[in-house]
Amino acid sequence: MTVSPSKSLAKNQLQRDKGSAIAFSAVLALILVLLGVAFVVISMYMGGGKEIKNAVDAGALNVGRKVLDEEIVSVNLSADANQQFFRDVTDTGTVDGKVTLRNINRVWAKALFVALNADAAGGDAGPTDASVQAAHDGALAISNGLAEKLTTAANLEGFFTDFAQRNSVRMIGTDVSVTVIPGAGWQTSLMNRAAESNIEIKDNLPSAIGGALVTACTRNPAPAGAAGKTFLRGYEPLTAAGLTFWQVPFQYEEKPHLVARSTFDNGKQPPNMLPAVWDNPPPNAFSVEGKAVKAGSTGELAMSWVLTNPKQTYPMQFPLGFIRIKLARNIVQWYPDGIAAGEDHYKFESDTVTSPAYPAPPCGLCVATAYVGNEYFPPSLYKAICAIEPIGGEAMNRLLQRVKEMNPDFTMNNLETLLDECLMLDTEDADHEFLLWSDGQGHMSVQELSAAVLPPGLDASQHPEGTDLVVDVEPGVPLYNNADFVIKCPGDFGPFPAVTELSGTRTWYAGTGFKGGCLGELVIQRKTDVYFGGICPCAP
Amino acid sequence: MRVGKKSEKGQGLVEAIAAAFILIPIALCLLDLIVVVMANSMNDTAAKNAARAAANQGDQASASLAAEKSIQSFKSSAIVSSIVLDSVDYPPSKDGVTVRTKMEVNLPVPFPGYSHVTFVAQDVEPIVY
Repeated sequence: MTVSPSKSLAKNQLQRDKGSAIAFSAVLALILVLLGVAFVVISMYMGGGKEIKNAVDAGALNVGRKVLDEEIVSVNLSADANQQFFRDVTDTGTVDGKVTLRNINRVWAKALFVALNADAAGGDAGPTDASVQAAHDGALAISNGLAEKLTTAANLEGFFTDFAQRNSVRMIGTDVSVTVIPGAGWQTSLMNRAAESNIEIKDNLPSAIGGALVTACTRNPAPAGAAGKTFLRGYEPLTAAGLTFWQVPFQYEEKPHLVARSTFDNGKQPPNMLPAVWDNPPPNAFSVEGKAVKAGSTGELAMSWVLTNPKQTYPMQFPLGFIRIKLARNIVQWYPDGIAAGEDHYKFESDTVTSPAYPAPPCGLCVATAYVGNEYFPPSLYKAICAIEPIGGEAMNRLLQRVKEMNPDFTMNNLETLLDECLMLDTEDADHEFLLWSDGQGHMSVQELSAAVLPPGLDASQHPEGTDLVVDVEPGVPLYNNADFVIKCPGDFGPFPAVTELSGTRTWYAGTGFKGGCLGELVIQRKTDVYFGGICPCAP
Repeated sequence: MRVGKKSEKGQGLVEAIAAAFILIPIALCLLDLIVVVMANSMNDTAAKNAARAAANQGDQASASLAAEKSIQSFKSSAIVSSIVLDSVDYPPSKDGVTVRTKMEVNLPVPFPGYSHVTFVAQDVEPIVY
């Protein structure tokens, strides 16, 4: 049977229509599968990016934590005396003590204390320039060494890898881990400029310091414990005695935490220079960069930025120091007929002193006997200092201020008790010296010089730089029944009562603390004036 | 003849049904795949957040509590039936805290033997208390 051409064309068309549905479905199925695979691959890639960011963040936080204390980013004190001066603010308080980012501010604060002591003494400071310069140079050398360690990326990479590699990046590959990308991604920054450091100002400064040096907590909101506290400012020049001292800012009670790139970049020096020249400041913020790459495939990079903080506050303190207290030899000044004549000395206990014989006109002699030393009962050092008015006085204030530099929590009550418990075992007629010192841990001791054993770092032979400043005048106290005199012409007439007057001075010599740890010297000088005289009733 | 014409008409429908038998499972598989990928990402985030919360604490007890509170922010649904804290390891050395989370997911299109999947994620964070 033959088919007409029009019917043949329709049949062919029908055959072409029959085949297209299956082909279309096959293509569609393939596309769907490809889309599915593509979705999975992209999801894995995006997920991998997130994983590596998490791992790099963990690595960065570990850098922020470890950079505070680890050996590789610390400096040990050198044998140089200017650096050994800071042994008491290191981690161990020993000659090979370690300085880290945690306690570098203590080093600078102690150096600043030397300068503040010099400034406060004013015209009575004496030759303090060398001490202040030496303390400053010592702190700067330590700080430079620390900055060198902190800005060397190789020192920090181990901290990063330690934690970054502990986190899985399975979406990039099951046998892939995060590795460091050394180079430009590892930078440092000086953040939170002018914010508080971790050195808290206590009520122990030699004089008030200006607002340019101190600040309250800058956190907003401030933690409850920050109320009423002030701190030294960080990354701001702290000027004293003509020199510039520094601190690294660590906001109060803050922990190491991640920060935004923009905030980190704002603190980089250069281009954002500190208000004064500090060539090598220890940084407080660090950037890190890591990658995870599967062999024969593309990988992912990530960066993170961390601001560190030891979350530990120290008081502004001069932990290791001493004060000398000198009881100068007591003087008896004789005033026969009201005219100053010779002098003698007396013990630091009840004592009897007899004068030479002075003329009792016209033909006799006059001899006085003084009963002195009664002001030194009971025989304690406190009694010796405050034997007569003023009780306490400016001398005790000076002592307390210096003691509080060593132990900020020490009170006047504590000081009086400490001095009162120190008994004068040797009361002989001579100069007596005592040392009042801290062991570096806040424990105060006082002993006679001959018995005092100072901790390493203190030198009892050193004296303060300052010149004499009379801080208390003990006005003459008339004493009765403390002296009498006899007139010999011939035969003894008397005894007759003599007039005595007890007076004294308390002199302060300010010390910066740099010379052997000597923060000052207090000298007590007492004098008993004896007035006597008469006429000898000779026969003409 | 008419018989040839009737079978030609029905063939398109049969082909369409046959194609649907292939395409629909593929599409449903893709749907499950999407859920799997998203759930895995959610679990990773939960583990990271819990680890970060725990790393800011001072001891094991506080760390566990903080991690637990962090997990509570993730709400369950018909697909994510539960997310729990599997372990919080806060070592005495206070080096790093390790947190593991477990997430139970109901696949929207259950296949025989694959209606329910459990995801485990782990994150390690340095302790910065």
